[in-house]
Amino acid sequence: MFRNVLMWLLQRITAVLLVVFLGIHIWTTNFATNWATLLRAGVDLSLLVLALFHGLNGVRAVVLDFGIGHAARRVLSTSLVMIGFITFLFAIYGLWPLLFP
Amino acid sequence: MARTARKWFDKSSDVNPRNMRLGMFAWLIQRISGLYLVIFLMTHIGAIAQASLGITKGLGAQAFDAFRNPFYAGGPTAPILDLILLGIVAFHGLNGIRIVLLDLGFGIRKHKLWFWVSMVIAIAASAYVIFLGLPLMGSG
Repeated sequence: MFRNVLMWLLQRITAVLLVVFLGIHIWTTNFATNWATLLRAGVDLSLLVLALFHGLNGVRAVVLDFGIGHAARRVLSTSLVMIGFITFLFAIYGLWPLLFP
Repeated sequence: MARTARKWFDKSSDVNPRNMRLGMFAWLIQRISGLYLVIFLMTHIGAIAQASLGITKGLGAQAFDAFRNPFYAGGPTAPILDLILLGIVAFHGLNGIRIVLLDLGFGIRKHKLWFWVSMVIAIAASAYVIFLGLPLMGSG
């Protein structure tokens, strides 16, 4: 139960941070000035973590609302964590040349 | 399956469209746009990684292209998809802020008003970004 409340809270916190960081992300990618490019690596890496967590936790919330059982819930959580972790590693590998030229 | 569907669309069901009011529609659209944005996030990471790593030839490039093409179809539809995405992000973000404020206890009695206020801000923000960046759209 505590974990579900924590996930709910983290979902709200990442939501607010995402709105801010997404604004900076769109700004730096489309209307970048010299000082803005300095922000880029930090913002994009934070955005990657925030968006992956928020998105996959959101998928979890949507599926849980359909009312699945305990075993299925565990399978769901484990696979979402694995998807998130693999995507994170792939994104770090793929974006490295872009973020740190 | 059929029983579940019948339960959902029963006259007394909460998710039967004719029983749904504004807050329920906002909840449903928030869910659907969220799932769309998760799929977009994956394809976005794939597309940017492909460009960043310079994968343009061979089987790897074909796999990347197949993965991202529903969202990054080149040519004339690319800007339209970008604009639709911008609108979906603006909707999801602003409605999300409204949800956070409602969870904190602000404005519960006026949640419908705040929905329309957030929609106006979302449209205005999208319009401003379009105004600034329309020539740059479709570049990825």
